[in-house]
Amino acid sequence: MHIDARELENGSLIEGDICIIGAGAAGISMALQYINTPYKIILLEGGGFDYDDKVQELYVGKITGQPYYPLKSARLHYFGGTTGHWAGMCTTFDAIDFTKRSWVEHSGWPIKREDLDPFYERAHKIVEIGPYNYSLDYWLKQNPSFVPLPLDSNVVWSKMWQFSPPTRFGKKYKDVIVNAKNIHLYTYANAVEIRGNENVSSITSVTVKNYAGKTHTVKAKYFILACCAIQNTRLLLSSNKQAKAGIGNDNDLVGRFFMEHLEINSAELWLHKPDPLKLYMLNTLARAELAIHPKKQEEFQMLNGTASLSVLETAKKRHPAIETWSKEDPRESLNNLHESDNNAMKKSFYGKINQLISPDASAYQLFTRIEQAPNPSSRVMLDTEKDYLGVPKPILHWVLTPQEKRSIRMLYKLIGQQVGLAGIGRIRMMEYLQDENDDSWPSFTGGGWHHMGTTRMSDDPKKGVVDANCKIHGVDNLFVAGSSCYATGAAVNPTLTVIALSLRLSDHVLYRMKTDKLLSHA
Amino acid sequence: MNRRAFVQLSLVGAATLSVPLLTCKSRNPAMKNPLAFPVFLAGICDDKTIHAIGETYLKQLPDGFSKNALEKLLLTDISGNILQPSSPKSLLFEMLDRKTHNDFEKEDTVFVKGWVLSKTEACQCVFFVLTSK
Repeated sequence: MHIDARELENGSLIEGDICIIGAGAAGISMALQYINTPYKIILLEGGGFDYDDKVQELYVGKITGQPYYPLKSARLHYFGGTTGHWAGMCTTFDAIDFTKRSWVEHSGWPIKREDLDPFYERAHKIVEIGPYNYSLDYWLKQNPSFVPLPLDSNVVWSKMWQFSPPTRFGKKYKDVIVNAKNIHLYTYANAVEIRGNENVSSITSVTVKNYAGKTHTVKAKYFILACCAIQNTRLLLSSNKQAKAGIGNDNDLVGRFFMEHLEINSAELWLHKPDPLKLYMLNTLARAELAIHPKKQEEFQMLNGTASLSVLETAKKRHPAIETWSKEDPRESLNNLHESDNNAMKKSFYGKINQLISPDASAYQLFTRIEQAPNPSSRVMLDTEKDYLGVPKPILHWVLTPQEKRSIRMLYKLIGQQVGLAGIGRIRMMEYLQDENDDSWPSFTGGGWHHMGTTRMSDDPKKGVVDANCKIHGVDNLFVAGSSCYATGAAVNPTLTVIALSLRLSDHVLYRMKTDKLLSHA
Repeated sequence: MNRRAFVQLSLVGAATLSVPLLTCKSRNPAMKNPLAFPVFLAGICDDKTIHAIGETYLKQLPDGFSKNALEKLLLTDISGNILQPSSPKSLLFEMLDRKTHNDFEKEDTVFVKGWVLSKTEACQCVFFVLTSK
């Protein structure tokens, strides 16, 4: 069922069992699980079904730390959320990403990788990718033209990825959500405040507003924040009439530990003879990236990171994302990015767009994606300036540490040693990595548009905002879905894990609903 | 970076410790000396780059490190035997190939101007610089 909140009478009361705030990958994945359950689900979306620049304007914010993309264009504010332009790259976190690593301060999750395995498998169906199988051997059998580099997998291994079409959640799941009798989707319903009981141990309502000047109240038994790492933070911190520091923020953790994936060109692979390296090139179904074995990560005290390969001739003609994604309007930024990619390919392959594999290439660009060390100084805060609906705008203060740069250097030293040992070529790192005492970052340093960590997960309320079930510490019925719960960011694009974690949360909330019912009958 | 146009290499694979067959067309006489000719590296970069690597790595070596000491170091095989500079080139190439592979195996690598190199080939770059003067 779909209701446009602009059309409701001002001051309407909306009531349900579970209220999901945000209809992106996390919110829609959860709502899909609740179809045909006996519960009334309220799904709130701030925008409509299509891009609306006025609504997108609500994402405007300031950048005060490491240069970053305009916040207005870094996420999409309509039904389907940022899946409206995501690239569809999917793989899982590694087991080491969940562990407490002595060399990575603030690392460690209260859950393990195997806790997520069944949910990863379910998430595969939602993003329309192949079997839940990331073993290299499996993919080598699927495609005989895939040949791995002859490197010692105890040092450098080939981590597999799969590619979603990519699933545009807004298009793919609109009808199923709208036609579901127990799912009540409200568009143009921007959550602007969370209200609780007297001591805010339980949430009673959420206030929603829109540009039509309407204000409504939503009441439910359970509330799930699924608005993305920056917007979740905004809503929690700005809901400060009852809890002075904001909801869930008794320990000054909401908004801290903001993490991104550092994504940056880092090195070149020079082979002594041409090799198309099909396994490592962008394909339609799967590809591999070079990753470092956990034991080596421990030995060299490094963060988890991977290197992806692309033909150097093309890569050198491509502009860094931090330059091309500079427009406030996400559509313009996306066009610039595509134009840069297409021009690079045209110039490299005599006008043959989309030819990403070159049979006679012997030089490759190595592009890093690496986790960021969790850092409380890297954070999202509230500005004094407010948006049109009266919510303080966000300030993103993204901070990097020397550990990221040292880890990138070590990543390529290890790959370089393995490539040398295999006798297939040599690695050359880019200039910004050459001085081992230089911890500064070059102007082309970028992120993956992956916002994580601002309501991080921990069993200890002094170390995290949510518990292992994504429930906000100290608040009985408020949960967070999405990458803001990540305690560490791993070296992979976050969407598949966002969905897996959301499915796990949806099961937990269903369990809570059922046990509540049993208790009320007892 | 330009692929060396003046060197034609046929590497049967350094990992298999084979002897490279090569025709050196460099006008730089230093390159004719196996000790000053990092075969594998020469297959992927030009002599200007090799020279730059040599100059940079030379600065990382201890003060007073002489050309003779470097020559002796390069002529010492992985078992500690010292070959004669007048040994057949194929023998020297094979020995240096083995040493290069051994360096990577033992993680005896150096990081020079962004390159991850075996110590032996970095020393060969230095020797190239010193014999070019």
